[in-house]
Amino acid sequence: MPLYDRRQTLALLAGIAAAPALGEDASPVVLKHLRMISAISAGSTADRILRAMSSAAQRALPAAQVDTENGTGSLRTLADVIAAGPDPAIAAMIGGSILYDILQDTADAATRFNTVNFIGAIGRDHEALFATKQSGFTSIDDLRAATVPLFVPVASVKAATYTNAQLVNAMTGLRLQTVAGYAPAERKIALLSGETNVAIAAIDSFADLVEQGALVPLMRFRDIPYGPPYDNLPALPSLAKGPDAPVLLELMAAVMGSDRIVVSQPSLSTGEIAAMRQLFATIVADPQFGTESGLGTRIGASDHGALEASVGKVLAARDAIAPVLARALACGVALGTGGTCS
Amino acid sequence: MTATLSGLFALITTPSMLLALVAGTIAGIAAGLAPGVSGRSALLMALPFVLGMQPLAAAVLLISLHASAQISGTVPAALLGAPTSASEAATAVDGYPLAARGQGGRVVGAILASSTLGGVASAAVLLLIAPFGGRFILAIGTPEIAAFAAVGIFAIAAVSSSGLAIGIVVGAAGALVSTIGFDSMTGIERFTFGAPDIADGLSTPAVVAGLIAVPELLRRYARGPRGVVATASIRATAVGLLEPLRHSWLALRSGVLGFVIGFLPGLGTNVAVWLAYGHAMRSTRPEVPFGQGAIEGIIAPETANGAKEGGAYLPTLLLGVPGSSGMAIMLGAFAVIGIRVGPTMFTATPQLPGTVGFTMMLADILTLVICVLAAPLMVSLASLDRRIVTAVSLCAASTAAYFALPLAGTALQTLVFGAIGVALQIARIARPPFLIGFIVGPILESALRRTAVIFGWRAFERPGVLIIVGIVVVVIGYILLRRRQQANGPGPLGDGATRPGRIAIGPLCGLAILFIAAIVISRGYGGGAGIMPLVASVAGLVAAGVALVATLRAGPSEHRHGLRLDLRLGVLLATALVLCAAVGPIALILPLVNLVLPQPKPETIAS
Repeated sequence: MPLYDRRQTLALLAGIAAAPALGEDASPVVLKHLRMISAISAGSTADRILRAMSSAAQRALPAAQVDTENGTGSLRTLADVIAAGPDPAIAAMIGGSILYDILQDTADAATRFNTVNFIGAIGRDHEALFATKQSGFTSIDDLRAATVPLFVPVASVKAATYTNAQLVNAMTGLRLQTVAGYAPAERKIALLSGETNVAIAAIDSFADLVEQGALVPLMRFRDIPYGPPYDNLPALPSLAKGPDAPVLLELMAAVMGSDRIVVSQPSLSTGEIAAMRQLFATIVADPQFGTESGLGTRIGASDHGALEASVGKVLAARDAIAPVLARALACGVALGTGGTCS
Repeated sequence: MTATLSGLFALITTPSMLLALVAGTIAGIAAGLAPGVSGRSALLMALPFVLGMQPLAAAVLLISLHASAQISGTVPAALLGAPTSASEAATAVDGYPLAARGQGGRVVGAILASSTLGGVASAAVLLLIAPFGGRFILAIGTPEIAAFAAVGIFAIAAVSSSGLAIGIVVGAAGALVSTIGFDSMTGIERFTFGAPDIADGLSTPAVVAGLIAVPELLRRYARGPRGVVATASIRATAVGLLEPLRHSWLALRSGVLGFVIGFLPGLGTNVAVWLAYGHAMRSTRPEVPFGQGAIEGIIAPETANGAKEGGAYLPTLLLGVPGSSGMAIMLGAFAVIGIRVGPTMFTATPQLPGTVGFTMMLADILTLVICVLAAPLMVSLASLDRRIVTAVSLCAASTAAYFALPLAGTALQTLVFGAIGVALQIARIARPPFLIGFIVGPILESALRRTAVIFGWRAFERPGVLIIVGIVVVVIGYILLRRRQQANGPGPLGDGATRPGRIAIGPLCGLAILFIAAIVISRGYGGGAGIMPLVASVAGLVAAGVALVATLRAGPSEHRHGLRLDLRLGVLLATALVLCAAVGPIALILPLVNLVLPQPKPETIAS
């Protein structure tokens, strides 16, 4: 039995990390006004997590004014954060798929992303591939042998799920065909009704459907413990082939591990940044946050150090990764739409 | 059934749940009456307060809050003519002219009774079909959604009171404008010209505020400073309360429409109310003055608005799939407070459907009672000095739009669509077709493209699609027949006016130029992203040609428009928009500016 669980360890690490900054000033910065922005639409899982963070922030800072609002997409929210003045302090949650966007965008996007202050991330480590029960697929081999199209419902071509599906195709030779335009609610109906037959999601998102027996998990995306019944499934790294696979797997791990990235504006002082990071650690250590966010004990938080290392690694290798990603995306789309890819 | 009744028993015998019901209802009424606060945003605001409550009591509070906010939300929009959402706009089209004629009490009564009737009936249906409704929902897929959206597009024909061709022009413009922004299926940014504020599309509240609220408020202002709207007694409100019963067949049809659309994910309240409004227009007697204060124009959208609540709970409870954005938040709230929904609900909390259904019913009825008692006070809002009302309403509408999308560009969108709305109003061109095109266009496009990928032509083998397409064919035939019958009559107009004359030539030419430009630009969009703008533009251009010929033949306009602008109002409007762009909340202070100006005493007429 470890002395500290993951959240307590994070809180401790954040406290240690904040200590030098606090030491520069005899009186630690007290956040008085905090604006929390969810770049993802109201009602989504990420939005619920951000609102639970707001509640926890208010509990941690009872005297502070904590506003919560919905932003307008990751890239736009990021631009707003970069341009914001120091008051109020902003904690904006943006999707990890922004890394995919940045790799496909201009080098300027990566530079701009590096100007924000990273506060922490709530990861989505436990991504998996599912098939509907009525499709009859019970293994990856069944998917390979399928004679019907394998339709994967996704929100848009900018969603991480879309990119992940193409990368799975490119690395495993599967022929997953993404169909964009499904809102989260429509996605579940599409799966339950048999309109689409395969899904990619964090296991929390479809826990109810798996429990009902409507969805059958077929593959883990990461070779880490997921818990039953997922641990007996093959992991993507064991199925991935090709020279680009190691780079792509590392990229996917970075995106999933830092899925809901919390950032603050560049104009904050060192003390304010330290206070924000400490607040993040306090929030993720708050048991009520786990309950309210719906994440339970599977929070998957990364502190700013781990996040910066993960994101920094991707951005530093942008010139090398971007062409690999572009190649894999083209390959994945070709396979999904009945084409070929060497 | 036992579990359902146990839900009712628990609700009326548990003090905490009863208290939650009353508190949620009162809070919901207050939220609904506040401009720009929807049931959805009220839920978001209430969520932190229910954490820690007993789960079922928390659920009761949230359900009653959402239900009562839906009912009361349309009242100020109709009385002031300043809707802050597309769904409110449908009721305001006829509610405001009636209120302006001194029938505010009747308007409030009709809104409350219709919405309550729809809500209570849909809750009853929810209770009845909960045990087996899930299977029915799963029979409806994307092709059926596409077919429903097509029905919605045909509603343009029904609300085209300025003539079918002009209606198609304006509806096509709405559909074209709805394609602005990022295309989710290809990632292409359409018609944004690099402007980041419209990369995710235009703001619906800004479009509604500009297109509907701004022209109505300016017209109200142009009539002079004195308020002439009647005060209302409870007796006047009671007259309105009986209206849905007097039009029970229309209320029933609209309620069914609202319920069905409620449980279809992706369609939502806006589609429900506008389809119901269009249905009322095409199915009632030709002499009913839609757009000029037809009570049917209130009953239909409000019954649909109430009934879609019960429909939206159906997939939420039975499948764990939200039927609307409000239900998505409700579903999240249920998860947070520890209530399980979906198929496992029948074993985990079997009394939940009963609790939800009966809470809806009781909250709706309680809202009705409270609002009827408060009706005289509500109606007096509309008899305030027009300058105050105009200032407050403009600020409320633009601030609501700003809160929905907090960007400087939102204020600009309100301004641009305000100008378009005024131009259309002066030209006596009905604006509802634009809203229908704008709301239904994206749903139709997305569903059609997904259907094409997954089903192809096999979509037409699905019974649901065949039934809906069959209904569309029948409805088109019916509309054409009615139009022939109405050809010699005056015809109802969406803007409360007679048919447009040559004054419409300018706006029609402007829209034709827009369509031509869109055709040229959209040819460059690959991957299917150009299809919808191309189809909308070609249809709009053809219709514009037909409408121009008809307009030239029609001769001069029959009436001059009464809109009068003055410098003070222009300054006020510009200041409101600039302030909203800079600091949205501060715009709420603007009404105070008018309060310090010398005001004439409002004139009221007792009803």
